[in-house]
Amino acid sequence: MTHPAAAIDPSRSPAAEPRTLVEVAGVTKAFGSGPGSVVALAAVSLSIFENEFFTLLGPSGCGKTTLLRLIAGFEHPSAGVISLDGRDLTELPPHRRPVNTVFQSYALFPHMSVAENVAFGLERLGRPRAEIIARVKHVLALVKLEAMADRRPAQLSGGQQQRVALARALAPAPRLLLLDEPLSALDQKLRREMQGELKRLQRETGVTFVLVTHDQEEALAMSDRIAVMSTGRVLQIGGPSEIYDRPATRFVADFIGEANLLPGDLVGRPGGTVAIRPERVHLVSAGAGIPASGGTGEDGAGGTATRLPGIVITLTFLGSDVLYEVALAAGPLIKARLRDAAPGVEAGSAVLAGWPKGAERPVAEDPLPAGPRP
Amino acid sequence: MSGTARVRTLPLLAPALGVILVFMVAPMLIAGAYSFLTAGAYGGVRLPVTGEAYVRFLFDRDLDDSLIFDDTYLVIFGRSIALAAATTVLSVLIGLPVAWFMACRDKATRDLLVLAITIPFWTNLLIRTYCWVLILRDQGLVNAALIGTGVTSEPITFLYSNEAILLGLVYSFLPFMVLPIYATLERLDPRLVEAAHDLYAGRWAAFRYVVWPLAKAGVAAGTILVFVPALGAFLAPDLLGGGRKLMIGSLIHLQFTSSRNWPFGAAASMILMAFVLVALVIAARRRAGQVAP
Ligand SMILES: Nc1ncnc2c1ncn2[C@@H]1O[C@H](COP(=O)(O)OP(=O)(O)OP(=O)(O)O)[C@@H](O)[C@H]1O
Ligand SMILES: [Mg+2]
Repeated sequence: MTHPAAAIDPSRSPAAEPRTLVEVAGVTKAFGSGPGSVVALAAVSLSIFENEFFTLLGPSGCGKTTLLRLIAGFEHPSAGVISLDGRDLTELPPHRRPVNTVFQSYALFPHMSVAENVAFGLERLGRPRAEIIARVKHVLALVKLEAMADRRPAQLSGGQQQRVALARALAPAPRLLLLDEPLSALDQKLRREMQGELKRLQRETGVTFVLVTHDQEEALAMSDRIAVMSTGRVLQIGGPSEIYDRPATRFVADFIGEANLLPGDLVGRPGGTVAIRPERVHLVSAGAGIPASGGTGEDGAGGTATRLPGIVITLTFLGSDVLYEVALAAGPLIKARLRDAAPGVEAGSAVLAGWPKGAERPVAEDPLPAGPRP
Repeated sequence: MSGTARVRTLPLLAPALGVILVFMVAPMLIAGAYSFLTAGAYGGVRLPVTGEAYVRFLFDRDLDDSLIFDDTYLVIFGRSIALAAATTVLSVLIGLPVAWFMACRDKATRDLLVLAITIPFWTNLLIRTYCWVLILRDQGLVNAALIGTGVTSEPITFLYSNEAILLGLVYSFLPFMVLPIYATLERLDPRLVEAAHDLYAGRWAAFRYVVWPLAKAGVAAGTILVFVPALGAFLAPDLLGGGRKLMIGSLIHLQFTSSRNWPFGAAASMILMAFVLVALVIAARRRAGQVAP
């Protein structure tokens, strides 16, 4: 069998065309059998490119960890194939895969020093002693822990332990680094710091990172591409701005940032649902003359913008922005997030809520949840 | 500062100290005192004070009262140590996989298995050891099965051998090895094993470098819990060794019963205790040395 990697320059220049490193094809994972079985992943397919920062984003229980464990080899797919560099991984045990994991709980070996932890993978690979020492030193410098080399994990802070886990997984220079919510145990400030650090490490090492998180801000800030998951399915894959600006389904629109989900009938797209980001909505005072009810529901249909009458219910100051909640005459609520308070608009004011043409995105309904099998 | 702290904690420690005094120190002192007395004709002890019991351990007295070196008791002592050591090694070899198997089950199964391990304790050890006689004797279960299946035509004699004693000892003390190892393995985070596999360790390397170092404390505790009582055991050697292969425990037992030589029995148990103490101290030193080189 010819190895696809053989045709590619092994130096892996970052400027090269995106090349598929991991291919997940139709992977299903069910835990247990019979009526009590749980389908954690339902026919998931995705490709992860070389050198990219890829994120699996989704709410708790959607199957992110399961997918990561399948790639690492700790679980076997019930159906489907996972391949790396074009090679089918199915029969390869975890210790034969060029993949390393940063565990959510870090899973540092408590009876070994920091340096011994970091050296572990290299030693199992049988690297020469001198090379191991140099490599451990280099990786510890990368995560800024040279001074801690002789400490035990129990003598380190949470953030330091996290960096040891990172160094340990990076030391053998894996083709792929899997990170399962590596930042979730850290406090807010440390978390921000480590996000930058992770991004920097990914760029410096050129290793492909797959990050699992349920924090959409983290995903948007760090990733080259994001796969949004829900109930065992991948709903959309794309860059952060693509996912944010053009959510494919109702769930994606709602989960990433904030979204107004309105029935399409209201905006002249009968049948479907549209999503509008609150910051795209603007409000104009409609004056006392506009009736609060009985409006046509559409204003300036032939123009460049949509305008819907409604009444402001609440306004909330969010520091830099003001958030308005408007009850539309047609029924649904709509949120508008404005830089500055709209002049003359307060709770109870009759307003016209509008947005530029094209700001509303039609979104598909979500597939049925995987759920337990019949 | 620490002086006043000690004075204050003394009343709190008193019950524990009392228990240790009454149940551990007092019997030892009594045994120690007896070992330096003379045997009474019908058991018990009497004056004068003498070191005769200790002399008897190594020497025989000739008719003219000269001492002749006699290794009978040393052989018994050596056999005891060898059998206890073999028991310990076998218990580790069997107990480690058993404990690992238990620790890998889910919570409900684990609790059930711990209960199962303790079930033998519900029956008296004497009866359980005697059951092995019934199983192993010439007309026993094993021989019946062997003859029934035509493996052999004549019964094979299993009983009254060192191997039979060893079997009985391992059977008696295995739970004391399994439980402490299980206790350490149960606390071992399974992610550590996954992390080892993730970092290119196969099964053996994961065991050697991650599981074993973390399970060692349990093995050490189990070793003490198995080795020490196995050394002084007398039921298994009596019943399965048929009294022909004495162990130090049976020897002591005999002195206090049919031989009616309490001072010698007490002296033998003092020697045994001294040996155990020295062994424990050496082991503790070695372990301390490993932790802080
Ligand atoms: N070993 C298992 N046995 C049975 N069910 C499991 C097992 N592991 C996971 N599941 C189920 O599979 C589904 C997905 O779990 P998974 O751990 O992948 O979720 P997740 O997306 O990582 O969630 P979280 O963000 O909470 O970590 C859940 O419904 C979970 O209960
Ligand atoms: Mg998870």
